[in-house]
Amino acid sequence: MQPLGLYIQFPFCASKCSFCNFTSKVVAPSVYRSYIEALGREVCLALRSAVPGQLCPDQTPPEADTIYCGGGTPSLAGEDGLERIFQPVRRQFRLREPLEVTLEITPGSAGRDLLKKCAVLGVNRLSIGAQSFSDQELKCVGRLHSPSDVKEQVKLAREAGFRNISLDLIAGLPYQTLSSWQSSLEAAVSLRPEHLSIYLFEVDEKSRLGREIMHHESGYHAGAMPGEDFMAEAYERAREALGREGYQRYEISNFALAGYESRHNRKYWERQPYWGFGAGAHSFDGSRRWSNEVETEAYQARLAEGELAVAESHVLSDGEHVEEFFFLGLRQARGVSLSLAREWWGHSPFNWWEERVRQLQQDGLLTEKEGRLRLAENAYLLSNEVFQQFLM
Amino acid sequence: MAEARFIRNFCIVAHIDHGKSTLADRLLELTGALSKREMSAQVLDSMDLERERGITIKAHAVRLLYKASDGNTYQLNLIDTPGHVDFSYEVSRSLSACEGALLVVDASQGVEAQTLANAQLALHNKLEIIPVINKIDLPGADVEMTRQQIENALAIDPAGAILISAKQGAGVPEVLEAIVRRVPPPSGSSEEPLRALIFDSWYDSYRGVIVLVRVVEGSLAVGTHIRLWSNNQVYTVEDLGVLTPKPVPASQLCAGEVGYVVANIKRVSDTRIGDTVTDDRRPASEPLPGFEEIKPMVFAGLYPVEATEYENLRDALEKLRLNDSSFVLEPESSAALGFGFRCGFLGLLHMEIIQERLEREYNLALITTAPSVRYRVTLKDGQAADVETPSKFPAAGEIAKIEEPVITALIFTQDEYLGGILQLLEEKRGIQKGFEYVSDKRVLLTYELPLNEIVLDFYDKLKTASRGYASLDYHVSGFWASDLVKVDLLVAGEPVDALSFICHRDDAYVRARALCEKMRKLIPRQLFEVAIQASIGAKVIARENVAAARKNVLAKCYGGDVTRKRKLLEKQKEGKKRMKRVGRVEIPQEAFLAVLKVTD
Repeated sequence: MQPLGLYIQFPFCASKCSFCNFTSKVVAPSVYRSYIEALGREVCLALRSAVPGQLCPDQTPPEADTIYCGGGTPSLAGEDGLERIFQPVRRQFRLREPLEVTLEITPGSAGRDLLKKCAVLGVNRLSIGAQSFSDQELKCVGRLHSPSDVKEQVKLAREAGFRNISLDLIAGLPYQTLSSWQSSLEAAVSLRPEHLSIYLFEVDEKSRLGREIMHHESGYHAGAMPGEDFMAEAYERAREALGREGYQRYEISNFALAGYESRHNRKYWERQPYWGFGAGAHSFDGSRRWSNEVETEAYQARLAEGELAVAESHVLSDGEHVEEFFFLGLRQARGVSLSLAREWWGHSPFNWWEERVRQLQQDGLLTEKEGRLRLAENAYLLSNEVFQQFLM
Repeated sequence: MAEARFIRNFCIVAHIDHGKSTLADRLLELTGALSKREMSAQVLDSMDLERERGITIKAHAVRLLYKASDGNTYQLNLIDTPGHVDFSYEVSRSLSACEGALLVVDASQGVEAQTLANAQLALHNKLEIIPVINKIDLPGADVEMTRQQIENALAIDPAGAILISAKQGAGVPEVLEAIVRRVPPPSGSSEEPLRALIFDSWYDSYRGVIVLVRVVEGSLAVGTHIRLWSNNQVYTVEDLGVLTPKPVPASQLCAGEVGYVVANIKRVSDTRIGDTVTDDRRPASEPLPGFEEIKPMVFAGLYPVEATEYENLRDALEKLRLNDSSFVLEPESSAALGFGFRCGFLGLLHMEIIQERLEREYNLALITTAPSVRYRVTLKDGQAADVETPSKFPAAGEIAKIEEPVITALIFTQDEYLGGILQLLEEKRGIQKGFEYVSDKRVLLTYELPLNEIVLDFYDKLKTASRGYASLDYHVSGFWASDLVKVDLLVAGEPVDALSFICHRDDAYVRARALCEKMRKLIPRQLFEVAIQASIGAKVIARENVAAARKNVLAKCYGGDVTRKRKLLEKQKEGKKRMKRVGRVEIPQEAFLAVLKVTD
């Protein structure tokens, strides 16, 4: 059994950004307490419960080697809150070194004391939601921080001893231009984080800004959105700029200095088991995917009743295993192993993917090197087109 | 059985909305054919569509009994006529079943194109015409002007015009008196061999085909062995009678009378409008004059939006054909649109009616290709062929001569709109045949125009050029030789059959460019650059490019939410399934719809 990845969801923020398509909410800090209590209950209950049985086949606590606390804005929970978030996990699982423990923070939300506490709790990686280094862009999407807050946050983290820091940037924000994007990239790189995530703004019905765009309205500065070609250009520039500075792209939107790839996120793409706690958290045990109630009220209510808050659960079919193997694995620069694919699904009726691989290679969207199949350089931005071909 | 001298057969003709149906209602009311309660307004227009569009599509015949001021009771047969250009042959056959016509003119509008076209048909059929000036109660009514136009445009003496308000009933009794006094009684003898004119027929699911006839000579009774002249089929009359408008069985129909006949006829297509019914045991020596095979003039492909609806479309078309033998169809398949039918219609309105009935009564979602006409092509080897669809157009090198159908159009308008209208007619390759002031400021234009220019967007453009103050009527008047070419649209080098069109060489460039540009906007970006070209033969005359897609990526981490990623991919893939593939290019169905709908 491979060690687990553990995910802890903290779905609250101090304010809601216009581009946010998560279910995070803005609530009074007093609400955090009962939610965190529910989290602790879920961890204990889950380990005792037979439902996700495969994760703990015997009575010994399962092993984990990554923990990722995301949100939302978990740094809002404060020192006590974070302690109560991490403790049940640390207590109930056997943690195996080298351990990667990530905490998401927003710039300016983690002061010296909080950082010190984090270190004590075992957090050794910080993911900072910088998003942009342009004041205007940050303000227009409703971020509460300024570019100088990011610099200050990184400085404080370094002083507190953090040696693994990641910054997020988003391309495609209102008013963004290629030159402002270039400036953001340069500012981010100058802080020398070990890891950078480059996200492309996604238009969908779940964010307020996305809705405005889809309905051709102009709220949330939807009228000032750069277009598809800008996004493509911005992505290419990021890849070049980061590459020059030693950041290797190891996944479509993730770049890292050698040895600093996020081990936790890798588990998603490599289809290794992970277990999620909290409202809306997702889990996978190698054959089944399940997820919790998304609404915090429903999540807490079910745990208060003494039951797990699983809302959806689905055992993957053979076909779905094949599909996921490709559309998740191919997100990574290292791609997927063809020999492994053939070993598992090389025979009828599971080998339907072989013909599609051939066609995609012919179209120049996939390349094969040393037995591994990867996205061609020009196919990264069109990867959904490739992945669709791997749906039966 | 009435004596011929007490029978009057008449019809009402008018331009659309000039009050024909309202006058008919008043006549029915006054003669007591229908009580007020039974009158849902305008009973003669029985189909919903007719009522909505304010036009009459099927002819009907109603017998009215009228006690005139001379003390005698007369049998008045009101034969209704379709009111649109597409049905001019049917109109002319209905008119030939009458001896007189009420020509209704709206006093606020004056003579319009259909007034003239109908008056010409009535004169051609030697009918006694009684001008009726309607809507005299309207504030904008100008009786004098209307009289002047009747005289100048129609060459009809306006002295005998009757002034009425059909809506209020004023003047309607005078109309009834005028019918009795001015319309001649029928002249044929009941002793002669039977000759009856078919002027309408429809399918009734209980009784089979019901035929409306005007007995010209001889008589018809239950048991008569009738023979249809055009196809020599023989039937036995099972039932006959008159419509009052309710059907009332009768023992016989004599010369001069109008009524319905049921004779176990299975298909409407066997009973052709204008055909002669004779007695198989004692046939007439000659048929009645004026019979013609009706030929469809406008053609278009009808395709179901969902391929699975093909069977339903076929069934619906077959059902519609039960009652309308004037439209023809044959199966057709298109690489872009799948399986459908190429249909021929009498005209544009006829096409719209069929289309609307399919959508409304049969709940079908349809794609209709751009309408085209039937060309006469003579090949270099001397062979001749009729071509009504671009896909059958011969290669340019094989063609010796192409002729296209030509119409004579009558257009009435105010002279202030002449500039725009004349320019439009010029653009549409029109040739002026007449230009006439029919009254102060009111002009009648007579033009010859290619039918293919009319079927595209002429009505809309005329409406725009005249702000709605122009009326148009036309009839097909022949063919002329023309320099026509077929323009193909190619997407990534593959021809898209549904979008080919035939047009005059001079218009090809402009239309090709417009189509390419429109397609560029409608085709989503693909993984590679897509060329959109329009060509005549091998020669490319217009080109646009759709740049390759640059971004379709989900660049975000969702805490292991794989389901969400999968859903997005599945949604995108599902979207592609609904697209039509042309070569390697995926084109949304909406693109075809949009291109086919707007044909400028």
